[in-house]
Amino acid sequence: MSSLDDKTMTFNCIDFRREKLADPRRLTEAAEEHLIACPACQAFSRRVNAGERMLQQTVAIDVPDGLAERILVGSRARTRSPLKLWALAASMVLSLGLGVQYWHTAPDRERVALAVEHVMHEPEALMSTRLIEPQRVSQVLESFGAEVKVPMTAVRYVKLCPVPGGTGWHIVFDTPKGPATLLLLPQKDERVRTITASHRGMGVHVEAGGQGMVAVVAGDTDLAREAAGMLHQHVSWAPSAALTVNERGVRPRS
Amino acid sequence: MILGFSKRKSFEQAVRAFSPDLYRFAWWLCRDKFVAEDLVQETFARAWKSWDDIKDSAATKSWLITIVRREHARLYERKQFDYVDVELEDLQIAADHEPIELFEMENLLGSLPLTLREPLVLQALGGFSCAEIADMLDTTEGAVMTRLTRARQALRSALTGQPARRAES
Repeated sequence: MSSLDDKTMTFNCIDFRREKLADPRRLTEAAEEHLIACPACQAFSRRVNAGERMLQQTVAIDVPDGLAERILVGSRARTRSPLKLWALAASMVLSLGLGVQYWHTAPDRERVALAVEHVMHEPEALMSTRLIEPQRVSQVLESFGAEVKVPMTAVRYVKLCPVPGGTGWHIVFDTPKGPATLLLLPQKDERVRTITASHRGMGVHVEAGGQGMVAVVAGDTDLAREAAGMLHQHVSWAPSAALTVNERGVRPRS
Repeated sequence: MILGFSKRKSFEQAVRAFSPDLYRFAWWLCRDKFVAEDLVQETFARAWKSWDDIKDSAATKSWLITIVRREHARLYERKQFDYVDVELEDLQIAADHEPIELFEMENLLGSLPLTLREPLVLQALGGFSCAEIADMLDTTEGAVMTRLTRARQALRSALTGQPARRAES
């Protein structure tokens, strides 16, 4: 102890070091006064502070990219659909098989169901935070037969997926009320009716477009309709419904 | 809409603000990135159900940390962790005489008993006071001070290569 005045007599080096080790950034007034008067504790304090800096660097481990987004997507899904994840996973496997089987034979409701199952089958698509270049998005849309009026700038996921009847595009874009999924699915010779429906707690808007069918999937039917409306501000589709096999000259590019 | 805008908005803000530190805290509890993320996801899922009950927004982070701890305990409720305070002399800490780099510090910190590691990580991550940590850990402020002192003594002993002592000289 370097000072023997009254203060240091009542608050000694042991007291200081206990306090410093318990909470280095919050010293009491007595500890601060002792620190000023005691060179030994000043050196001790410097060593502890250096250790604290290293400790803080150590505990600040890297956080996975998109963690907050995944939490928010998960909470939205839970809010809108109370289904448990295991039930979703089971239904995805089952419904993908069923979807392949019924795709061409049962219209409307099956298309809605398949769109939802497809979205649920790739939950990671909703978690992506990487923005896709608008130019690339436009190329994809145009390859499916869209006319791009205004490039889409808030697209976070674009992937070519195997779907019944060939390959289709799986696109996730942001809306003011959360992410929505756009599925561009080729159709052979059936005409596609415009329909908005719900399936498994999610909303789907289906319409004819481009080389076949355009489906927009969102949290509920209102959101799906709004997302489809937003999409229409960016692209327009050929006025006719699904093209026939012979008319389909352009295939989606990977 | 099922959700009120303000409730959703405040929840989103909390997720963005607190999820990194909650993840880090969870990681230091379980030392597994996948389990840590699951813990944080589950924490916010549970928090959302009670979001309307939050009265003191300043205490949101500590409340969330409490949920992380509870979820971690639930996850491993059948597994016995070293929750019992141990004597400092009994700590199994690698005393390396070489300068300890960050990764060594990580191993060292990870080797601390949970009772010592948990308050230390909380203080280093969140800057919580001993009283706040005591509230989160459901213990006394004095017990937290003791644990923090022991934890830092253990780290210092490894840093200096000296055996940890109860009283600093």
